[in-house]
Amino acid sequence: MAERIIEVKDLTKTYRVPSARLLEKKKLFTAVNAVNFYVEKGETVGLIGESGCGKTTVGRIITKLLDCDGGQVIFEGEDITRVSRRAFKEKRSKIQMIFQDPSTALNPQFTIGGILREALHSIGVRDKGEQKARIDALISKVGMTDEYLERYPHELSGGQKQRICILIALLTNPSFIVADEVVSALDLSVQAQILNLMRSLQKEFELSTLFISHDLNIIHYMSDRIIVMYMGEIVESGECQEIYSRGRHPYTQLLLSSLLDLNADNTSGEARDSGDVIRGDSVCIFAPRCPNCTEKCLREKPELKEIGERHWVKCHYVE
Amino acid sequence: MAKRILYSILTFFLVTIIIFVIFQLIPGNPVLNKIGLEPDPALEQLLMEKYGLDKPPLERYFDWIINLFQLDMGESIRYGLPVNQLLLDRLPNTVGLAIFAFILVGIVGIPLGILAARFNKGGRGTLLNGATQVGIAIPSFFLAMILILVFCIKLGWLPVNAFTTIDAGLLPFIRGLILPAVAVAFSGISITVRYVRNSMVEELNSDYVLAARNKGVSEKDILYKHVLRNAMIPIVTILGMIFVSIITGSIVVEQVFTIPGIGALLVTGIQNLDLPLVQGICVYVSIVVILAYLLLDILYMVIDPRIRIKE
Amino acid sequence: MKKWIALLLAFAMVFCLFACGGGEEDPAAGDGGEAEGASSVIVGIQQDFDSLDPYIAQASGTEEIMLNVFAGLLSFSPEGEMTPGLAESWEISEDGLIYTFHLREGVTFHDGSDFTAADVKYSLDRLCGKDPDEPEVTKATFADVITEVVVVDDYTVEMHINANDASFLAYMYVGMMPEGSGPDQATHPIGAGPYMFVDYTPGMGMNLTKFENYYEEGLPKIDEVEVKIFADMSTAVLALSNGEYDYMTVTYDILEQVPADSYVIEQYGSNTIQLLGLNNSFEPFQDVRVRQAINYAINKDDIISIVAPGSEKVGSNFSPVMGFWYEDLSDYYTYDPEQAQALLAEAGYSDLTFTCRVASEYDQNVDAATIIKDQLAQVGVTMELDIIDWNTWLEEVYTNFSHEATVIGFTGKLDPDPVLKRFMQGYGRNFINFDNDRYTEIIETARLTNDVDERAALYKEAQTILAQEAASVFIQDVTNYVAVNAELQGFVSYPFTFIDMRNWEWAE
Repeated sequence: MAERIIEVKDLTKTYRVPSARLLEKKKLFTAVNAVNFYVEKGETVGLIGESGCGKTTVGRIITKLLDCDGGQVIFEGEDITRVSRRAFKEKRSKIQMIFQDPSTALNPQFTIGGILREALHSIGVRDKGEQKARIDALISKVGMTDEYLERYPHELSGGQKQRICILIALLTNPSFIVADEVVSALDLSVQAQILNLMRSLQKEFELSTLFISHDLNIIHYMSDRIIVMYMGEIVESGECQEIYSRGRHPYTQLLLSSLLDLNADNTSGEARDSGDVIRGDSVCIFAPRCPNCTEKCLREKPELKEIGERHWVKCHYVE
Repeated sequence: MAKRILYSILTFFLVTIIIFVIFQLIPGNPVLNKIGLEPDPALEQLLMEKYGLDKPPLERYFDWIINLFQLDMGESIRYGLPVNQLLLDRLPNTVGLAIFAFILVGIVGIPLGILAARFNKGGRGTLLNGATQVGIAIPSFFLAMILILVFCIKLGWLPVNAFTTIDAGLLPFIRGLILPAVAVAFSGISITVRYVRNSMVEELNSDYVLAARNKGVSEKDILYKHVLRNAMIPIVTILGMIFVSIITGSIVVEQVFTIPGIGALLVTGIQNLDLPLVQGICVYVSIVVILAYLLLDILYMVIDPRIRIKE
Repeated sequence: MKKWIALLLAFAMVFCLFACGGGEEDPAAGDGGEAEGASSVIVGIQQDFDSLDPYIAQASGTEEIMLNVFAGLLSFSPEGEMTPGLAESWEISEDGLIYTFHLREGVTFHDGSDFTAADVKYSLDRLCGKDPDEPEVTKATFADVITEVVVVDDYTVEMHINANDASFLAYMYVGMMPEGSGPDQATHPIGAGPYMFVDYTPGMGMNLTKFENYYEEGLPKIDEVEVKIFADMSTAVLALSNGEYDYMTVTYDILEQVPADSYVIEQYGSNTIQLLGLNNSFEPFQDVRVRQAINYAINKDDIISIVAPGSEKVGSNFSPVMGFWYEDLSDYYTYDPEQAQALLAEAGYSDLTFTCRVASEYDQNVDAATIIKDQLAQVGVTMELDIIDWNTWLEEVYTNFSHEATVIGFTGKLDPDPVLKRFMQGYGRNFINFDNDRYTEIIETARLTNDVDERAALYKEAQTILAQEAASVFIQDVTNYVAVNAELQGFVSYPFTFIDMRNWEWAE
């Protein structure tokens, strides 16, 4: 078995949500419900799901920008779930996140160069000369020149900013990248450029990636394996092509048939209200929307079953 | 920018007209007030002529405007001294008080706000919330009296009549302004703490903060280098609010501490229906406000590079 | 980190200011104000000076201090009698039209110049508005009366007046100033009084220093006097309790806040008559019975005990402190509600309703009006209160006589004429519209009567008329309360707004 760079076991994250009614106690909203998956060294795993399914939360937990309420995160064999900030400082530079909106991810007060130098400063590269060397080494790799170093973020286009964000991620020599909807905020024409850039960089730097998106086509383009999430749970996972052409879970099929425009937030309102989604250990998470829902689905929660080579589905009725 | 100045000037003229009209409508006249209970028809006539009160209102107003352009604001009816001189004499006192108060707002309000942002949750958060609400609501007169009771009477650290003019020396001048400045600044400090806290909490949720954490930038650095600078931008807006609270607060506080400042002068001017004096103060306040807005604009440009590039 | 250091530094600075400041000044009650051998007194006043030039100043608050800087031809005693001042003696001609003053020799002004008759002429000409450079310096009481001032010799001056006026002498306390010093008086007053002007900060206060060459031997005793203005009474009381004033006029309601062990409360009739003015032209008040009824319905003792305990009750527009001229009519109208109701019924005004306008700035008047309202209600009279501001009162009530009733107090004068002439027919401010021929006749005659006994008899008759005709309701001579440092001796009171500093000295 190939080395697993990241492994997530029974990862859970819950939120207290103020109730709509005045005096009711805050309800518990489960954003991520005992999720299990792994990413192998050198592979790109695509995490797909609609808004509110918890994929961003998973990404942030893995990069330790968010604490989890249960489960484990194992990086390069070490359990980093409950490790302290100080202890994690070393490892931190190895797990990097690229954010969705490059406009907000870059501090408008700083020049590009300033942001980059600060990143290097925080991993201990304080010598100006060495900072410059490192930046120069990487800047051409993202397709930019050092004339941009003196500019402010708002002077750059969306695509340019995202290239910088990628550059920032690479600066610290990470081995694992979480790319959270990295092209969602960009124009279509630019999206392809960025995706291609990422693919070439992944190859060059031997990066393992968790690629989060709501766009199936992009996921298909970028990933080796695909994981489908719904309402905090993994409902299907498998090889990229396998899922793309033979996805078996009713939800996956829904995605594939493009009946759902995942970009629209039309479900987010419902997602928030745990009243509509019946959660529990005895109900299938997808039951309310499943066209094949039976009485059994409402009675018994399905388990994740292996139905093919590395192809897992969480449904009673899939063989 | 030019448009803004034009509007300011128009507003200024409008204000002078309004003040003028109000004074015409108020019963009583400044000469009667000056003469008091011992009538003196000859003197009354003389004074009416001297201050132009026998002329029709429109003529008086334009006379004043014309003199204004020659930088002559006339003579105060109550004091018999040129308005220019009265204002200039009092200006250092009020300006000193305002600057002192502003400094207090800065060195107390901003750090407290940052602290509040760090300890935002739970009991400490609600306590601070409540405290700042009280701070904004408390009338400056009441606060001034409490300060006097505590620091002058109970503790005896300062005499009640501590104020001296700046001619008597800079240190005694500052010393005499300590309690008044605190009374004036209190409301401004409370406003600042709330806004700094809210602004910073908002910024702390930004992506670039996460990105910085992602890089392992220390929390302290995040707070001061990243968040603070961005959080300060909306704070520049409330500087206007603070400025107003200081100006209005100082009028009352000047009375309580018997500081001969512009605020006290205004109160006297109104009590004595001294129109030239009140108009003169109006001119001064307008100039201050216009300058303040100009300063605010410059501040914005310095703080926010986004605006800098646009201009 | 830097921010915390900055904060600490700031607090350290502030602390230092407190500390080093504390060493300089010592707010001292009972300390005697002795520092480096120079004795000093701190006086607290509420009214800012309206002008330092006594010929321009109108406010009594200004006069009470400035009478220490200026000396007049005549001075006055605590009983209100005119005494020699810069003039040692004087004669009045038979027809009463020429006053000859014999001046004291060897008197100098603060600027060192000698006091002579030329200065007297200069001063009086200026007062009469005869100075071409300063036309607005004029006081009607002089300008209307004096026709000419003649310098007979260096120490003799004649004043010619246009009509016999027995009250003329009473105005001669007005300060004399050096020849030609007029234009500068407003910025730097120069007189011949016991204290010299040092400096004045508008809104803050004035410093006075002892005039070594004052003509009265051995006076004054205190070296420095600091007059501090306070804008807010509540703060001033706190300062007083902290020992920051040695002398301050207070009101009855704050007496209890004055520390009893370090201050003495001096109490004296201020010669200020508080009255409920009834507009005699207002229809119900045209009937004397109604006016009398109101007098019967009001319990003056009650008002006094609440507003200014210790005050003397009066029956006319005259105070007992005027001694010699005073006719005691305080019990002319005893408190008799039944009589009041009877008179009202007789006049046909059993449900009398009227409005009383009071200026809000004067608590004592507002309080009195409130009490009166209650008292009148008990006899079936409804008095509405209309609280207005001072400027409105001056214009509407005092100038236009647009009122039905009002409560006001008039500060007293040294001579009965200015006090009683207020209700003459034809007087520009006869705001109660008192219309009595005999009264007017008396006042005019008294002016021409030089024999004091005759004059006194006339004024007593005038007072009696005021009472009989119930011109208004004359309530009390409002007591003045002054808080004086227990160690400060030499307090003297006058029937006049005058803080006499000459005799002050610190107890050993």
